[in-house]
Amino acid sequence: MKKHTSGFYIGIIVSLIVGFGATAGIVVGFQSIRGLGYEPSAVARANKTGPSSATLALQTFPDSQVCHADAGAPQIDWVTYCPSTHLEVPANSVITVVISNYDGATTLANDYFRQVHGTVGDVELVNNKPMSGLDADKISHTFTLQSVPDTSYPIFVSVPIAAVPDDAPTPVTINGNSYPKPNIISFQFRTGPAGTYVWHCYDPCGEDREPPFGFSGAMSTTGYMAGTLTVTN
Amino acid sequence: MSSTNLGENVGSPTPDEPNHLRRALIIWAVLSVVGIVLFLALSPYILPTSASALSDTANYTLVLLTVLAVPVGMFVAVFLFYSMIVFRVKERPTEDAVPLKPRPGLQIGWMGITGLLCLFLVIWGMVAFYQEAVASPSAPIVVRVTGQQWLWTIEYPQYGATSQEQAIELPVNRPVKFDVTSKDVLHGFAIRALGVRVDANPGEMSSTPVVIPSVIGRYTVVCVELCGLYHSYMWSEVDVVSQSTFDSWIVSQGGHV
Amino acid sequence: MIETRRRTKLIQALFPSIVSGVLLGVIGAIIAGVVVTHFASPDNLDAPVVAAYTGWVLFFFIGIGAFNGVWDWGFARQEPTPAEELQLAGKDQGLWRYFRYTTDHKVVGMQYLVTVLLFFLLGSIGAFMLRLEQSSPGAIFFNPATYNTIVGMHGILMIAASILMVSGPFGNFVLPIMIGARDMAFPRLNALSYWLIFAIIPIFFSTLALGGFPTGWTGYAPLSVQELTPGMDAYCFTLIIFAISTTVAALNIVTTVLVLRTKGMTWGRLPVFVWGVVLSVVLGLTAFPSFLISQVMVLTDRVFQTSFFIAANGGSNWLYEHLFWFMGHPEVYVIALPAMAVAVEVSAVFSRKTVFGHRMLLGSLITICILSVLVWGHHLYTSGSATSLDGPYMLDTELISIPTGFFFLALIGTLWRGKIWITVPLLFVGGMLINFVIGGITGIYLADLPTDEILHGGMFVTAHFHFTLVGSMVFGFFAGFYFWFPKMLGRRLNPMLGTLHFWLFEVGFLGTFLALFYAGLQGEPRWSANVAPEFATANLIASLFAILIAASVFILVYNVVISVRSGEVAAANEWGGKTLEWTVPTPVPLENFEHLPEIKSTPYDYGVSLPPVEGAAGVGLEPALHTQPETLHSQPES
Repeated sequence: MKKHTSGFYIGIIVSLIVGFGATAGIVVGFQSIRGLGYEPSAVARANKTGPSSATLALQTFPDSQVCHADAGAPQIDWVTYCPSTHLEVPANSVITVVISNYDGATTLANDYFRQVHGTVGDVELVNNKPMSGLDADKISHTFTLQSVPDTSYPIFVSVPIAAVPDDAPTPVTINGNSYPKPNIISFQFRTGPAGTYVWHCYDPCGEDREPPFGFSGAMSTTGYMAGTLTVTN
Repeated sequence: MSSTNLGENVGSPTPDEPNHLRRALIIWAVLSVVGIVLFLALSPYILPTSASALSDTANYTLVLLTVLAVPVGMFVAVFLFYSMIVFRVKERPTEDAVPLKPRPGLQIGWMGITGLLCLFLVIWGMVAFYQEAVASPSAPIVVRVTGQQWLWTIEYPQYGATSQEQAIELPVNRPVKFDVTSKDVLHGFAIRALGVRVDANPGEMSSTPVVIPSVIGRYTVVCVELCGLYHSYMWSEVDVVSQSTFDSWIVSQGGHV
Repeated sequence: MIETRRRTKLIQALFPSIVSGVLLGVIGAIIAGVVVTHFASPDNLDAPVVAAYTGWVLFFFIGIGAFNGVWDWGFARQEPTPAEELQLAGKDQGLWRYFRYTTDHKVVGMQYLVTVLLFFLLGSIGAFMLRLEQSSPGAIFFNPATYNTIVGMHGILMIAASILMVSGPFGNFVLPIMIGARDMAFPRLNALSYWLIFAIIPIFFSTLALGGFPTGWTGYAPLSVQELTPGMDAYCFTLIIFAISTTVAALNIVTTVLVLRTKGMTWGRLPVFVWGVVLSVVLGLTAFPSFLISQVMVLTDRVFQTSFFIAANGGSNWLYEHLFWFMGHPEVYVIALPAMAVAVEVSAVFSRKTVFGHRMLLGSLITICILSVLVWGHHLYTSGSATSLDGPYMLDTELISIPTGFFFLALIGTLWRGKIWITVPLLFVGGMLINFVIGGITGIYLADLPTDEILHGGMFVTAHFHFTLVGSMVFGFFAGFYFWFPKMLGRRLNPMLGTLHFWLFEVGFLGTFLALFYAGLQGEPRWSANVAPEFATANLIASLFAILIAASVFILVYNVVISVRSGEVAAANEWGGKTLEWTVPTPVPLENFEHLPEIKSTPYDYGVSLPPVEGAAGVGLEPALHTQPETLHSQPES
């Protein structure tokens, strides 16, 4: 066995450190490129209203001026859920979700999402009127909460979000932008033990120049029309 | 000029040099047997759950292929290691090795054995394919599956029912087939435990083979064709239950039995 | 006086060179992008991006002087003088010749080598990032969209690197010397083929600034057409340019071997390495145009809203799948054939023994080449397309195992009863054999219809193709790398570090991918940003072993760096090989040979002077085919 200097062996250690360090640097680099995979830093937390109940308030907007004001083109024109798509709710509770919708209609691609599924009572309140489903051409978005594979406590909730008419006046001003009077949709579902879930809008409301239209852009980007829901203790 | 005298002589070139070929073949035979036995003993822990005859055939084929493959793999490994260990020269060699040329008998025999193995595998595969595709039972339950980024929506058109959950319910011991389509991009509808898999193509209806779930239990559907952001979250439960449980479930999902 | 001369020399060196190429290319990209933005509709983000890429490529080649030859000597206006040709080949330009449009095949070979190693380094770091993310369920480090982009980038970087890895560096540097030629048949096209690869690099990495791409390396439509982020265009354009580069290189290699073999070098005396590379590039010529066209169609769907792959307007995603896999299957044999041929060369030298069954081996390589064009449908068993053809595809896929078996027989027979000198190249050949037998057998599992029903689209497939592409073919590349490094760079790679590289790589590789085989058997799907809890343990084990692979990569980098800087000077015939490249001095002179050699026998005539022997498996009678008692198989033309 040839004799090597100690510098040689030190060099091996150094190259390993430099290599793994460079890898860590590249990981951080990928995480910080906003366009690659955008995760909003804010978390929308539900307010506890009792020992086993909480309320979560969300809004859906036809553009991103309100909660992604720093985004550039084309994201600034994307439909979006506000204040964040990173949701947090308490475990073992009844969660009341209130969604204020300022957006117009997009025709559903799949009629399944016309109906309300998985809520308490199998209904949603649209401007305080109980409904178990909406017409396919009067829906802006859906809020569909689904379980991740092999979850211990499956939750499946899907509600259609009633659209405002396309010709509605825009009296409401938020952050200097004008929006129509919103439809208020609310529904309830039950959580079990702590876990992670994902949610997504199933009404193709994204920008798309190609048929079948509407599945890309906001529809395929976390922070806009897709996100996670964490059930915490 | 070469390859003369290919008679029955299997002796070694010099009397005191061991017969390397015989040794290597014995090691190969022993290790192959050990490997096959070890694999058969471990296979219940390696092979996953199977809930249908189709999936049983697939598992059984895996076992058969591995049993056939162990001697093949061992052949390469044994002869490689034997050469590297026994014929190794410590320092840089100063003289050449004896040039060996294969006897025609070896080449023909090798081709024959590999050809037979190949033929066997092809026939086995064709028979299994025929059984699943052509000789399938009639009047199956049809489950219509629509893939959309990133959820499977499930309907039972014969019952007028739509699954209200991320779940497919199936009655045990009754044939079922899945008609799959997509609303947007390619998805892959795969139920591992039942042994069925077909792509969800936009604008097309593709069907899985007819399968009969045979074991009551809880299984999964996963998406096996990359479809974007939440591809790895796209799944549903498959519950194989008794006929009566299935009937009451259908009613609860808005259908009629 | 001297100042102006130095300045003119500097300008002459810089223009044309990579500096002028990049400068002009950037300017061209900006101009094209701005012009097209003006004319395209504002929501069409793909049009300016594709225009910018086109501008970059065109102007880069103008800047690096690719069209100078066409202008000066093209259209049969006049022939270049010998001095001009030597100038183009980099005579007296020192290290700077590697940064210019140099035609010397040795320079192009070195350029390819550096680029391939860079792709492998970046791709390996990408792979390690994937394993970090998959070490536990849920999204740990990366958003799933970022993960999908890393999967796609790792895939394409590695596929591109593997296609180039043997034919590029060694097919360029070693092959012309091996056939006794002074250069390739088309030296300027040779430079073109390399610089096309270089031009891809900024295009490909620009995807990071454009939102990445979600489709993985296969780029399946309609997902590739759906996404609004222009990052997908980077992928498509990269592959179009890549296909052009490999086509140019393939034509060059085929013509060189057909026409420039030296006197006495018949097809029967051609080294197996040359056969492997020629068969591989012929296969590539057949297969890659299909891929090129599929990417052009994806781009037109994205930029001009055609609907080749959009079902709603009459297109079909099956069209893409067939076009892709018509390339995709031969492509793995494009990767395999040269690596397998390298393994044969290395085994013959380090067992000091003739290739066992030379003609049988060549026949098997040719059969693999032909059969591989017929089997692409086995990727489409569960796609819903042409299910009646599943049976015939299964038949001919299984048939490929027969010639592959002959390859194993030849390799094992070459090592058997040889005088085995364990060196780092031979270690990699040994690892290749073990990994290839596992990879090949698991390929049979996937080729069989009933088992593919439960395995398609799962991690089993991933583990299978890593065993073949990485465990076999990349190991073959490393065998060639350690083998030819002393000839190409004139230095010895440190054998202790090389052995460490091998063992870390092999142990880490086996651990990682055997664990993933298990996960795939249990049903884990591919491309899983989120690993379901039932597969968590297998994935964690795989990720731990992947640390060893990463360590082996960094050790290789260390070895290369210290060997190039201060390694021992290598001998001209470092290993005692008999192919022609070992007869020329190191560093190889510009025109390779003083006098072109004349060939009298194959380069595998080891042991010609030994007495004949008999064994059960083979007979050792070597007729004296040439008159020289020396062990070199060539003699100068004098």
